[in-house]
Amino acid sequence: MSELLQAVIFGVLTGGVYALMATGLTLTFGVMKIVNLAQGAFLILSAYLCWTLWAQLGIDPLLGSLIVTVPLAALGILIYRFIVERVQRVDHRLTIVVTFAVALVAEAVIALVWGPNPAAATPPYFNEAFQLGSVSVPRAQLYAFLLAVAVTAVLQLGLKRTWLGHAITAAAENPEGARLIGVEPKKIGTWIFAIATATTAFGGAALSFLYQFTPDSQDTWIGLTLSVVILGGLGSVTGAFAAGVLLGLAESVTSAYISVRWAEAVPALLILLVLLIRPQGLFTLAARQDAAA
Amino acid sequence: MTQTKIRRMLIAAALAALAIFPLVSNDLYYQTLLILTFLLAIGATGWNIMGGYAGYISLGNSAFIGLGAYTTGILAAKANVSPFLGCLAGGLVCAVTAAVLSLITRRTRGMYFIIVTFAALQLLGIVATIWSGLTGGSQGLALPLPTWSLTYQNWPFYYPLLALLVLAVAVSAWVRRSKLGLGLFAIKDDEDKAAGLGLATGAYKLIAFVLGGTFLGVAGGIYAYYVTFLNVSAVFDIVTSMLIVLAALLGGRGTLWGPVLGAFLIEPLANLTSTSLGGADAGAIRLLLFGGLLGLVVLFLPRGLLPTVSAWKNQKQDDPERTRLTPAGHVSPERRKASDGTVLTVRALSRSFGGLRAVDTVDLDLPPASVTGLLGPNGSGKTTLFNLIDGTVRPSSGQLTLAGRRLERASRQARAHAGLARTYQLPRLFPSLTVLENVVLAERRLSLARLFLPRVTAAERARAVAVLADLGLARYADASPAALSYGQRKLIELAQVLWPDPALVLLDEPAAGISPALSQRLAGIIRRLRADGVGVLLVEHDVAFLASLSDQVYVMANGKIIASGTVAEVSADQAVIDAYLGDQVALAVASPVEPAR
Amino acid sequence: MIEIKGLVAGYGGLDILRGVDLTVDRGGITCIVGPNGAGKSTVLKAVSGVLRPRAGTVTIDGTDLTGRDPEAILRAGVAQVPQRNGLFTRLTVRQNVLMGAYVIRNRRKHIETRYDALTQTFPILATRPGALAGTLSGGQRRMVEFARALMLEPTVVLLDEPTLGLDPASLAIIGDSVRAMIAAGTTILMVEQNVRFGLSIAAHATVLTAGTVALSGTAAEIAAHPRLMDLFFGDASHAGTR
Repeated sequence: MSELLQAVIFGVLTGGVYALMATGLTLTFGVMKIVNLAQGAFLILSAYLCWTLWAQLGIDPLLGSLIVTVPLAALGILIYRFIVERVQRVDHRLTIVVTFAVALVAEAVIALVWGPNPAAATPPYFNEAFQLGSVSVPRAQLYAFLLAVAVTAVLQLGLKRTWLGHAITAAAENPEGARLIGVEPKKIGTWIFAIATATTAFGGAALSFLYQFTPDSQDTWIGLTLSVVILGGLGSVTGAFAAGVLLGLAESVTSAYISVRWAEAVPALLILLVLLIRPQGLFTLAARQDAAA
Repeated sequence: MTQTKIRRMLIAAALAALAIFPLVSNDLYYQTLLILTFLLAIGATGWNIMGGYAGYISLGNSAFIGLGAYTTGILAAKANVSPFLGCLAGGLVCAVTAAVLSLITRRTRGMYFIIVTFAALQLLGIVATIWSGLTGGSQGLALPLPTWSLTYQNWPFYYPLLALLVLAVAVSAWVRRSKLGLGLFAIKDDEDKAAGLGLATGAYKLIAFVLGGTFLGVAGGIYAYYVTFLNVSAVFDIVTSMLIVLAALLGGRGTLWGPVLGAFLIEPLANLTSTSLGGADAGAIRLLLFGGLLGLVVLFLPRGLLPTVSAWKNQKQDDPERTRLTPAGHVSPERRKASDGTVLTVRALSRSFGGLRAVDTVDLDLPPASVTGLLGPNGSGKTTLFNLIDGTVRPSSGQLTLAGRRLERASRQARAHAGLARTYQLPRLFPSLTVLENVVLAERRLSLARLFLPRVTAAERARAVAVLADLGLARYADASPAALSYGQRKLIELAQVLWPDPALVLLDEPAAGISPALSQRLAGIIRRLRADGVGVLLVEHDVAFLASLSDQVYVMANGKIIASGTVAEVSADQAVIDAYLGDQVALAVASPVEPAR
Repeated sequence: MIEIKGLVAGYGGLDILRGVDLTVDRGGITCIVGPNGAGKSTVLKAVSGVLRPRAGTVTIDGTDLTGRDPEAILRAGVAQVPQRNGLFTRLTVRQNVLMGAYVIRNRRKHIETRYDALTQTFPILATRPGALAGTLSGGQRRMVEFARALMLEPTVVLLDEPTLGLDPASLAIIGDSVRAMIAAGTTILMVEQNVRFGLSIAAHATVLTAGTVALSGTAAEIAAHPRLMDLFFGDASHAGTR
């Protein structure tokens, strides 16, 4: 029994982190219907940046993430303004392909700057755990989970309480109505991309001390974050959180009771299953717009 | 010499050169280069059938290469199967996988298709690693080494791959010329409309995907023998997928030779970079180069080289002058079974959106050989009713019977096959097809054999040209729909939906925005339809137009039918007057508001 | 105040408006009526900047605003209440109204004052500010949309079929709101499906058929026109019909 509990706790904690990593993807997908395949690469970039801050300056990744949001937001703005926005105008079906290209270029740059060797940050807590009876709760996972909750909460608050948040909600639901009150699609797009990539700084920070990573890890992480978004439906931040936890649980239980290696296959399997059975995702009520009538 | 002849000679010459090359030269470097180029070209050409013709982009192509390679490899290493059979087996396994993936994406569109192929690639890579007993996992799988004499060197790879490439291009060319290709291009332009014309879009996409996957699978098998050692991460590699997409995009997505051209440009470049770059950074630099190239192509050359060059060469011809309408002849349709009873019966049909009842328990009977009008103020539910009948929207409740079949939940194709046709207020034609091809596209029933026919058979062409001549538009037969004026597009769309001799025709504001002369011509066509036994339902605001044409009209308001009868009758109906002019509300104000000064 | 000359506009190859002339005096209220497809809403869209005209000019208070962005036109003092989908169902009543002031969102104090002033005219702002807009009835939504349009104290308000989808009881409220706007000096150009209602509120009226102006005059004149119904149910002798 305690083995199950252990798996569940681990799964929930990990799942929250998955949701955190998928946040940027959720935002761009939910509001702008753009699938940003560069999300994984941005996560790895953030991870490397946080790791560097930790390795060179001794800054804990959790704090370092705050610093890293700045260059990442700038990156998001550049990519939207010069790349994505342009492709959207020319042939919007190719947008996903161009983000794929960005992912590859990013991976290459990361490899050139940091080299191909695996990296992992090891702050003091990274292999400590709290003991709750027979169950151990790893500190690193817990901190990352709390970070995930904090970021999700801040985003939700931002969406619900700020002018920009309202403008984003409005534009996502009703672009023409939003235009009528002066909300410009291009400006909103820039903001969304900036925020989306900035939040990957937090996901990357968590990645840096939870997992080992190399430049080509982006492949694994984009698969995982895509899975969260597909499971969670049309991109509500809280829906994605639930989806992330579900994914984490699925992985954890598979890992404990079947095999660790099959657990790796869970994200991809879930994508295929969900799109086969319930294309609109598990946590939405509305059907996807593009599902055949 | 004509352009086509020159082209054919060039292709023949190139093919001959490639065929002779290994016989006259011992240069292994170039042989290797060509082998890899053939591989890439086969992959890109296969990809192009789904990604270029149908517009469904796949990012998981290396999954098929890997699948083919491992199938062949396992059969060779563990069961001693001959190479020929092994490669075929690889192709077969890929065909089945492609079919399964196609079924998974049956209910989703483009963006999700990409994600599914991506996920499939990941999954296959992981599964291959897990089943290491079978695949050798991360330690790899070794195939039996070549047993032929060294004088033949790479010939056993070179020639089969060249042959496979020729086959792939031939199949791609055949697809383009067939009804299968016609349907794929239509799907790329406007999948919903294609479905509304009766095309079994799911089947088309499945075939296209299976074709592409099979070629990749067989190529993968040959590749396995060529490298003699398979390693999961090297084979199920996302970069290979990317190179295939890049080759097709660079050369020209949707063209026949574009992918081949792209492959011949990309592979030497890839080879050059891997030989001239050394050191630990080599991989990263290559990734940078090709990822960057992909991005640049998408941003600045989205149509690829071949279409851009040909567009630059053929400056647009001046639009042929708008023809004056010639006197109409009459082409009588081949069928007309007399039908008794109604063509369309609607009972208690309702549709709500949230709290709003857009259509509220509507009853309707449409007899054959009749013209019925549908009137009503803005927001009365006319468009939603149309959408319920043609299948764009599903009802919340109620029944719909067409030609004796209950169809309220049926797919758009099923309704088309039952004899339903519909036009749109802003006509929807397929820009990738010629005007003639637009006209003959519709399908009355499912038939796999049909896919093998050429795009337009001789009989179809004769009939379609007659139809176009009837409309005074014969000179546009092989032009693009973009050359037509708005009114001409309306006529062509009408011809298009009438092609399969439907029993029920829904016309959405057919007279909107056209000249009086064209309006008359349209009225004539509608009268002929009635004489031929068709039931016509039209939404129109031009009541004069309706009055001269319709046997009866229904008036809708607030989702309900509030009156029916002739135009004269309903225009005198108080309920209708109120619906149009506004309810008789006793307002306190008698005089209008004076402007504040 | 509003001067439209020779307006030609449409969508996707189809010209809906084929040369429309229309004037509204400062502080006046003109109602556009006409059959479906005549182009009534298209006129408003061309004025508010959502649709770019192919030809003709739109001048507001002497300034040429033809073809400008919606944001620029908003700042020039022109607000539109669209026919449908005007509200954001996932935001509350209060948030929806405040969003009307999005372009001046830095002026906090001013916005608060303005909002409070509007609660006098539109009681729902005071009674249910926290309700999600998606839960409101049709008439209530219209109220919120009006209030939102007035946040910027526009000089011109464009109303696109304000009674669309409303039950007769709500009409009185709409009428009162429009009168309140006029009393505050706003110029109103409105499109109405409900001809009788529109003509009872407006001072002037324009009848649009097939993209051109068929009739123009005071609301009383138009309302009393003997063959008003014919404009909808067609008669070839009328100008502008096919």
